[in-house]
Amino acid sequence: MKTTVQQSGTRPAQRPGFLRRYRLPLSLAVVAASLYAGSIFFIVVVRGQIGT
Amino acid sequence: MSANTHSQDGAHADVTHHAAGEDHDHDHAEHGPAYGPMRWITTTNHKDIGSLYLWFALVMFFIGGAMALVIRAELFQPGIQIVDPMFFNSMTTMHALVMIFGVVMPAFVGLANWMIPMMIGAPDMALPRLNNWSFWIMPFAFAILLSTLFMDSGGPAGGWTLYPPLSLQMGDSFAFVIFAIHFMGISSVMGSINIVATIFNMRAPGVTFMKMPMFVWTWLITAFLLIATIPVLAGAVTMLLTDRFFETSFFSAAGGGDPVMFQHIFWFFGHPEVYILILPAFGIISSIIPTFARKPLFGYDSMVYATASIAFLSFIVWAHHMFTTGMPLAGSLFFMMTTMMISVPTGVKVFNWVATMWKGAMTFETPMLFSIGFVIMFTIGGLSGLMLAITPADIQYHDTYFVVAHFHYVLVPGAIYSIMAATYYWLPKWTGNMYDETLGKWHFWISTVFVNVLFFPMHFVGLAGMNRRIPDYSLQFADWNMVATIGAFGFGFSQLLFVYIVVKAVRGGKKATAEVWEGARGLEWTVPSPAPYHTFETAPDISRLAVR
Repeated sequence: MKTTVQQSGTRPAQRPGFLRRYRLPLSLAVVAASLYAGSIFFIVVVRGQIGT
Repeated sequence: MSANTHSQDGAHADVTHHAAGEDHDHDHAEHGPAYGPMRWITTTNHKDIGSLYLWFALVMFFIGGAMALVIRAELFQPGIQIVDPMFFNSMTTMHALVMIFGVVMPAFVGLANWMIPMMIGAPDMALPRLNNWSFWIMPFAFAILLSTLFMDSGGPAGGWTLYPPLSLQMGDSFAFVIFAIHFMGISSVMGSINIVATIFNMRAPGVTFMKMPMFVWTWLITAFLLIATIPVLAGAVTMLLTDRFFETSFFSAAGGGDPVMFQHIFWFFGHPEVYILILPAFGIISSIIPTFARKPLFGYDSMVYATASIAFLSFIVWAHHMFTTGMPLAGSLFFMMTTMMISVPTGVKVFNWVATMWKGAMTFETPMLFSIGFVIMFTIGGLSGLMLAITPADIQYHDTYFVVAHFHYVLVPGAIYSIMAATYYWLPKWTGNMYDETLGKWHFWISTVFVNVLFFPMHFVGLAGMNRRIPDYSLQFADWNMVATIGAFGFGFSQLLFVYIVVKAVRGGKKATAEVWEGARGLEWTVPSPAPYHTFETAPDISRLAVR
């Protein structure tokens, strides 16, 4: 069933998707998570601390 | 990025900016806060959350301060006087953790919550529900941290730096300490993401980056520092946790690990953390001095670039905390020189503050007194920092009370004074009431006398070789330690006056005008006092206003 807006021929306003709306905070969160994992990865792999 | 949308969160998706000059504050006057405790638990309002952070910081200030008084009471005379040495070590460790993560950082986040949206003409923070979550993690984190003092194995006692192998000798309560630090970190990172998103996406039309008040600029840079460094601390303490409880050997030499590597990782976080604790203070002082000098801030652009330079340099100086671990000559020289380079942008800032005051029509209300106190005493702390940057000299000063004197000068008459200056400056805007100016001045002068009685003698005993983090000391240090302890109790009790002044202003007093201060500039002074529960739901017209 068509909505009133569609019937009148105008396109309904599209709300941007979650990823698009939150791209800045999400990208900052990814940076933070990568630094967390990276600091451990650095010691484990680059410094070869595990398994010596 | 567009500065004219408030659509980061669903709560603001339908808010649009309209033409300027509308009386926006009356449109939503009926939407006041809810009543009862649920208001504070469920609030997403930036002013409520700012108040929660500030009250939380004040409570923690007295808890951390009580720990400091235990330390100073023990050090009043040589010998073991009052507390068990292990408890003394717990007090030094907890005092630092509480003051850094529980007082200075939450107080600055509280100020950011209150002021950044009002300074940039935004209706709220970009992510209000995340904001609520950021705050409410904090009381739980600190409840966990403080609870370790009541556990069988006691609180953390290896210093706030948690250096292994000493920290790995702690009992089972260590897991709670690590858990608490993780939660504090999550709170800080979420708060920082919120601040960056707010400043990037929520500025009113016309509030360009180079028109933002310095407090907003310093917080933007601080937020990036936090996002870049807190996860590294989290990684380091996660590895401590697995070393302690899961038989890994990241930092255990016996298992092939490297304890000094922990120090590198810790200070990669720890030195930018120092600037996290002081950059917002620079922003506050840069707001207050122009108001009471009745002149625009001297060298605004250079202030912005100096702040960014300090932030950049803070990432390449960390090993100056580790000169005594032994490092190649090239390493020592590199970290000595980069550390000294920080004095250049910092000097630019001090010069600009002095130049702002130069030939200004100055008056000396309480916020200005605290700001001038900041400039003078922070500079004293900065100069002793330069002495500590000199590698061969640092080997003499390392782990002495000279270091304690240095960082307390930058953190107490530095960061804490800036928070007090900010409180007096914006309190009329928050409460609608003027604080008691006479008592405010008394608070400043009593605090300033005692803070110097407390910390200045530490330079003397430190240069004479008194070690930090010990409950006992040689007889030759007795006199100055007695003086320092008198200063500590004087400074500590004078803060009760601060609480009295704040509570008195919250409860009533002479009504404040919207502008409050004659020389005040910026959007926050265009809204009534107290600031309405909702501000700038319609974007302000900044074409006729001085935003900074």
